[in-house]
Amino acid sequence: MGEVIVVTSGKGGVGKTTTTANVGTGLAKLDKKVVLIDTDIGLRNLDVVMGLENRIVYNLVDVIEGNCKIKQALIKDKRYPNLYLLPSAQTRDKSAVKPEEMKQLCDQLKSEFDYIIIDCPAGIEQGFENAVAGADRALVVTTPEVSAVRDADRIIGLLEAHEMKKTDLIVNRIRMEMVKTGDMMSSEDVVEILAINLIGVVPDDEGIIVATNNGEPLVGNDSKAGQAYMNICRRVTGEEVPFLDLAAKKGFFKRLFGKKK
Amino acid sequence: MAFWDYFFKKKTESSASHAVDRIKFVLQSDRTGLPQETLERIKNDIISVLSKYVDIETAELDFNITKAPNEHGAMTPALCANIPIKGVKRNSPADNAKVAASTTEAAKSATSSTEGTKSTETTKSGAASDSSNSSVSNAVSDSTKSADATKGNTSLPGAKSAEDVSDTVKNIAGVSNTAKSTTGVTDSAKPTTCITETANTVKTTTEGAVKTVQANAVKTADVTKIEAASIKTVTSKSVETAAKAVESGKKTDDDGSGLSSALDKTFVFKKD
Repeated sequence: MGEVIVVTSGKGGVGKTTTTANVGTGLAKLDKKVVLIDTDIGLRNLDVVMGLENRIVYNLVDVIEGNCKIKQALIKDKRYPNLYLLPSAQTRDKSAVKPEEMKQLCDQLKSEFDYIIIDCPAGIEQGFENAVAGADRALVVTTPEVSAVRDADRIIGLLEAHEMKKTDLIVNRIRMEMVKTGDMMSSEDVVEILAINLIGVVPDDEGIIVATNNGEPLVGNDSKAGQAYMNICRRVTGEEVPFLDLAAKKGFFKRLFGKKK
Repeated sequence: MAFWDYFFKKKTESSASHAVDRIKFVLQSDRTGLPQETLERIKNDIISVLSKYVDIETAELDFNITKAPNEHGAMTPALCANIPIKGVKRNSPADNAKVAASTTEAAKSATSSTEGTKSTETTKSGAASDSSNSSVSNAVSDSTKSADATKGNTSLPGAKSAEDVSDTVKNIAGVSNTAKSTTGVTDSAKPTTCITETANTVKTTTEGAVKTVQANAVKTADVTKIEAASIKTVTSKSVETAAKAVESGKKTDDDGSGLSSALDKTFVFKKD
């Protein structure tokens, strides 16, 4: 029986889609059978981040409306044998899907997959309701900024109202040099404010932009962000993984000769 | 000059800690649905009540609405106060008498400002709310003497508020236990015992207070109006409501009931 995980944040632009792509890909790398669902109807993005935009035939709304079978709409990621994407519809809006329908869909996918990862749209309206309806647990993504933290707090409250069994926090785009100079909230600050379990801290990394440009998630590569995402995946599966020391400096020779990350 | 700036520039507060303070402040009202100034008043009222009995280190006071697990394990908003106590005040009987005398006066001024013109300046209403607060809290201390005056008159909401206050103070006693360890109060036994004492006195006195105020209202026809106003505020369970009543007499009922139910629901004093 699979687990349905919704990736949500409240505020837009904090890295929900990137997190969905990386956590999904990472879990597939850990030999789990994974399907990613983009529920951002009208603002489809997960397909381009995953590099699968050219292979879309059917979408989420087609599945809900019965225009096709679920299997027909699932895009298989050729790079990983266990990874699938159910893309969102670009020409429809959030009202095309109802929470009960999402719940039914998730329940059906559970028998087939180990993890169903749902990319939630920004906001707290219908799109959010759809995304969380079938979810067993949530990953709340925030950045160390007041606006994102405030929205995350609101989302955490709403998830509690939905009786979400498990809610974990990902602090994204942290810049350790700014934390050190006291110009950015640390992940500890954010955790203290939001008072939920921290499951991962992802450093701000130019590699993410490069990865998105190429449509290939960087999870599991040797960059700090790649390692951080892989650690999140392992923690999602229940493994105890110590947190990365993001403040660790490169060695002297690496700084001299190493490629700029 | 940049060179000298490097050495002599005044250390400014880091923007991260500023952000933390701001977000905590914002989330307090987000989580409770109470406006920020209400929370500020609750804080001030709690301080003023406590300072009647103990000396409080206001500089190191920590007063936050955060989230804490309730008995079912679900996260609910909780008021976490860490109030360092410097010492105990011993109130003489003379002080109590003085307090009693000022009670009616304060109540009068509170009501008169309610009935007065609507053009209450913010500063003026602030001062007026202070006096109304003291009226309520003073009534509390005064009441032990005449607690037996009218037993039958005790209304349910009043009695409940008494329990609430006593519970509250008991819980604060718990908090102060932890407070003392963190703030380095050297005399370890003293603060705890005195707080428990306070808890008991407040319990008994608050029950009495409600009775007294109501008894007075029945007795003196002339003052009935004034007292009625203060009864309303006392029985609506919150010192805060008294301040609200001063601001706008008409709104009292709505605000009072709304606020008190919100307090019942959300405010859980808890140990750190």
